[in-house]
Amino acid sequence: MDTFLSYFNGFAALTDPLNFAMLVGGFLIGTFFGAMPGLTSVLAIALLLPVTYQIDVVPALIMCASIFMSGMYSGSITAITINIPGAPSSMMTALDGNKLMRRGKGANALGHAALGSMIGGTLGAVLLMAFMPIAAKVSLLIQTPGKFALIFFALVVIVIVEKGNLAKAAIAMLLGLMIATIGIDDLLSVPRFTFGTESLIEGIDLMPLVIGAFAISEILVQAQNWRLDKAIDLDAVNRIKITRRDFIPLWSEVREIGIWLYLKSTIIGYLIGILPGAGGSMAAFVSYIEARRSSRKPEEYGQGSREGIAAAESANNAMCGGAFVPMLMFGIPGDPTTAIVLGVLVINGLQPGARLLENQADLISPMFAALIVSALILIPLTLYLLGPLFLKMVTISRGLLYSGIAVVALVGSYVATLSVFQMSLSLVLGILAFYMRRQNYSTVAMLLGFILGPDLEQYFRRAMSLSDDNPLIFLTSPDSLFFLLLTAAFVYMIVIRKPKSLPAA
Amino acid sequence: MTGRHRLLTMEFALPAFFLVLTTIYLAQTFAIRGQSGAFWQGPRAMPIAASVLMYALLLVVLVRQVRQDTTPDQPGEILRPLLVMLATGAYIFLFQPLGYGLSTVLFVSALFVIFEFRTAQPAAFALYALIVTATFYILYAVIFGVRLPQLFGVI
Repeated sequence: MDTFLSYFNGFAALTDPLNFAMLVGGFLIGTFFGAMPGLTSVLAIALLLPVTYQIDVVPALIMCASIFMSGMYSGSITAITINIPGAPSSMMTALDGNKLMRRGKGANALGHAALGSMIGGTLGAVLLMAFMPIAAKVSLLIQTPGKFALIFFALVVIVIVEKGNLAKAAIAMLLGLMIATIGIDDLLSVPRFTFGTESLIEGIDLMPLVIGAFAISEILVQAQNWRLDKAIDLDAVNRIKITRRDFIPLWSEVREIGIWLYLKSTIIGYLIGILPGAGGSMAAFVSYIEARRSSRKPEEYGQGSREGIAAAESANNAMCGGAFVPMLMFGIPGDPTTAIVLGVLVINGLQPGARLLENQADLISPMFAALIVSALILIPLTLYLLGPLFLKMVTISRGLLYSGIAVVALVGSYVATLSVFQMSLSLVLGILAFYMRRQNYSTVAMLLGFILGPDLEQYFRRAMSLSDDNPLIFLTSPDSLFFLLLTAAFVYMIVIRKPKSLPAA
Repeated sequence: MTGRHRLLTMEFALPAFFLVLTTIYLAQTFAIRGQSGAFWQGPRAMPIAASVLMYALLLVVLVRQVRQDTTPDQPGEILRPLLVMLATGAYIFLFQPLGYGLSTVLFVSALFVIFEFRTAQPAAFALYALIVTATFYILYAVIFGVRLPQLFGVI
């Protein structure tokens, strides 16, 4: 009962002017970054990370939540209008949305994308709030060997979802894990890999890694693709004429899609969100495939199917709620955004786990409320009010945009610790991430390896200490055995079993 | 591309760089103090395990690269990112000596040139550079109260 009362208080906290400003500001920032090809909501939250040193945890978390939700939805804007997904999670939306756009039904497609995002995002957040108390109880049952096995499972899943680049994803993950070992060893308080320099004694902070991997490397990637980007036909964007009324989907179309499709896609998206490393792209893909399989008109998929848009968008926004479950209860982020939110929690002295909901629900409840308000109210409201403007966003000069982002990223990495060393580290890690991205090494795997590495090591060593260096403890402990078997099952399902193919565009 | 030239490409250079990095890392592992008799409980265990795994995976990647007949083409250019790296390095180097204001105006101007933003319109170019610099000064120094480096006590 107390938990649900704290959820209610979370909504009340949004009426505070600062929190409300962060909610709306975050939503608009997320919409902008999500809609602009080449920018992502991850980049927006990465740039926000240094700012969280300067503001309280509640407004910071509210802003993160609204950026996450809006960034996931707004990728559909450019996916539909110019066939360039603003975010990878909108790839499936582009397949059908742009076909409708070419038939003069672009606003209708945007309306269905917003409706799917609204339903998926809201229900995903409701599921998050409903299952958090249960997840908290489950988390208390897991012992030290089980915690190691759970993190091991998460790392394995993060690697295997990078199908086709398994070895490279594993290398990136190990690199993150190795970077995380720099500094004082938590268990024995001895320095490791400091090379005699004081700057490395405290280890490498999350912020330069996030800024480097997601902001600096992005600017370098955009610089590399500069000529290619100029191929975007901005005149075509300027020719698009849309009125506000066109955004409202017809009731007959919604009935044809069916409420079951929205619900099914939401559940798929939510469950995929719980999986570490899977993210919105996989949620949209799996949901789209399932919707096409069970559809009465599968031939319309890829040719302008509103069902396809609804399935993909419901799932990728429902993923937002799911991704918070493992992060808040086990400290295991499901994707880069929740990884950065985890950083915000840790910066403010909050530790994920069952006690978080028990003792600090007043701090995280406003974040849940922000997810719901963003999905339920801000997505349809901003589309209706600002929809025609959204389409013009891609016409903003990239040169101006990337220059501004570079300043925010670098000065941001300075202001957190007032240290030029952090700026330098951001640049070095950014250059490394740039070359890794060029060669298809996953920077997300590197980030999650960095975040989960210390816990993996700590629980492993503690478990070995409990068993006198006997590794059989991981097989004799029931919770550990469960997660190891789960790992094997996922390896079988994702790596060994024959994959389903993408629908024809 | 000949075999010798292919070895100089990024497909080989990056794994080779990781190989060197892992070797330095592994060598440093043995300098860690506090390792007791029980190996797996000590501070060297995880770094050694990670290094061994890293060597195995790098071997897999390198063997795959050698077996590939051709090197895939990399889209895009390389000069522009290099210029961004140089400008960023110079900005970090000059950030404290020149102060936020001057160093940021120079950095933003350099990026405008690299990204070809308003280079034919000097007045607009300078105005936008000042606007970007001032915007983030207001954000960090005025709103968040951060003490940014100054030149002669000015921004």
